[in-house]
Amino acid sequence: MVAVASERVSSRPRVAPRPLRLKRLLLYLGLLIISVLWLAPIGSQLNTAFKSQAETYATPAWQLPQRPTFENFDRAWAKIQPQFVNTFIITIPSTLMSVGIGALAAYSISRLRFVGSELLYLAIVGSFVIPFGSIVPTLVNMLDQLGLYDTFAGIILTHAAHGQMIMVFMLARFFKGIPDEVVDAARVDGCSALGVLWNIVLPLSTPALAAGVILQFAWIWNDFFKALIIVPTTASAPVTVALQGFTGQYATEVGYRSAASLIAALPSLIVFVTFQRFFVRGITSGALKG
Amino acid sequence: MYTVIPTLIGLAVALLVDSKVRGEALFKGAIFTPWAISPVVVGFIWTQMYNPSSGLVNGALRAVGLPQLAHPWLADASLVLPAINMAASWVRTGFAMVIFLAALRGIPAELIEAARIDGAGLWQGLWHIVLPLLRPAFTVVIGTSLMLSVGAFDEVWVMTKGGPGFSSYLLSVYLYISTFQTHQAGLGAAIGVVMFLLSSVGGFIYVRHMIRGEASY
Repeated sequence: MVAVASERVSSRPRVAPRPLRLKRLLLYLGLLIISVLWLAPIGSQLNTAFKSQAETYATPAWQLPQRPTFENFDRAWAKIQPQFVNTFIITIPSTLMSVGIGALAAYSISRLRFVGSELLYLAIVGSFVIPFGSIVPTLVNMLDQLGLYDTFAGIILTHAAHGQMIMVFMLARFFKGIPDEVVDAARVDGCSALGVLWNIVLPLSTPALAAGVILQFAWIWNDFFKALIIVPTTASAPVTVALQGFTGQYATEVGYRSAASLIAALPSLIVFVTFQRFFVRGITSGALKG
Repeated sequence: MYTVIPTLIGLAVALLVDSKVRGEALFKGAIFTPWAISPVVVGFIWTQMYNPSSGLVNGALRAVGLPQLAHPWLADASLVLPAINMAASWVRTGFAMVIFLAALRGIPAELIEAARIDGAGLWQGLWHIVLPLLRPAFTVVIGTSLMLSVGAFDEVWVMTKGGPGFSSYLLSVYLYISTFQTHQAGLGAAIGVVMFLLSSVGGFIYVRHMIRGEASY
């Protein structure tokens, strides 16, 4: 309210007190400077990717390429294409599984009261405290014994399981908000527990499910550490692991590497720009809402 | 230190954006975008930024006439950690901003107006009304940041692999190298336990907050 009033004043320069307008100006200036600083690294990466190797050494970093070239992108794409496909093979089933299993788990925990459901919830959500690094040695050992080390199945199951703490947290919280009457009415009409989930709860929860799918997609797409330890070989590695090959032992072609990393970042960036609303809703609902 | 920069800048930007600016979505987008970029790519972006000859950091320093400040950032043992921290802050600021902004939007306008009517100035209102109400948001931002710092691996691995020497040899890097490269799985598991203990400090605050859901204004 206060801010609306001040804006109305500032749009009438005659009446507006001077300091207020100066403040607004400083405000925009501050935001502009921070935004430019924050976008500069991405801009610099793009700029480098369009320069030839010779030009990256000959010209200052802030100078636009004299003769922009797509050669870096062509070569980078040719090299990482198989791993780019691998990332899709890993990301899509992992995302669907983690949201699907998360929905089932969240539903049973939040809606079907059973002995120990609270404890189960605490155990799943509480595992958030454990840094992924600390389970690495055991996890790799376990996958190895199951014959899943360095397989798509191994990494997909890991992603699906590791996604549970955040999915169960987000979805259980959302499911709890659905009024009891709605669910009870369906039960009285003869719907099974699964029927209620499928016909009533899930359709009502599309915003939460959408946020879950998008967050998981981006996180799994961007994952590096899990892939590095579970699927390290080129045949099954995702694109993030393949990027390592672009840093040479002695000399690195920086334009070539910049192009490759931009290609690798593109899908999650597109998803992010398109669905930014869901991202914001996803991370804030997980973090703040009581 | 690793928590302070993103928290402060994130809070500042959230406060600025919250004062009804035009183009809010653009400013928010600019600062939040790095968060959607894979940590590996973030590592490459900043490796390039810090490149002694063709990187933007040194390039900008030379362009503004401060060539004496240009350094081989990632090859200098005393600068490597602050340099990596800058890259991580670049990502986390957007997260902090989003959390603070959501919390700010949750503060009823009447509260701020009431303070205004009682004669509180801008700073007084901020210090006595807004900041105390942002406590849950601070818990989330600082808690996650502490946890992420303990587990940090991707950017460090891409940028320095723990070097130069052992100057950026974080716990997670040590864990990876001992488990996968020197084949001392027992040592790796022990480091894992240490990481868990450290991380549980930030994690405990955060999870307790999550489960209690204490964000009631």
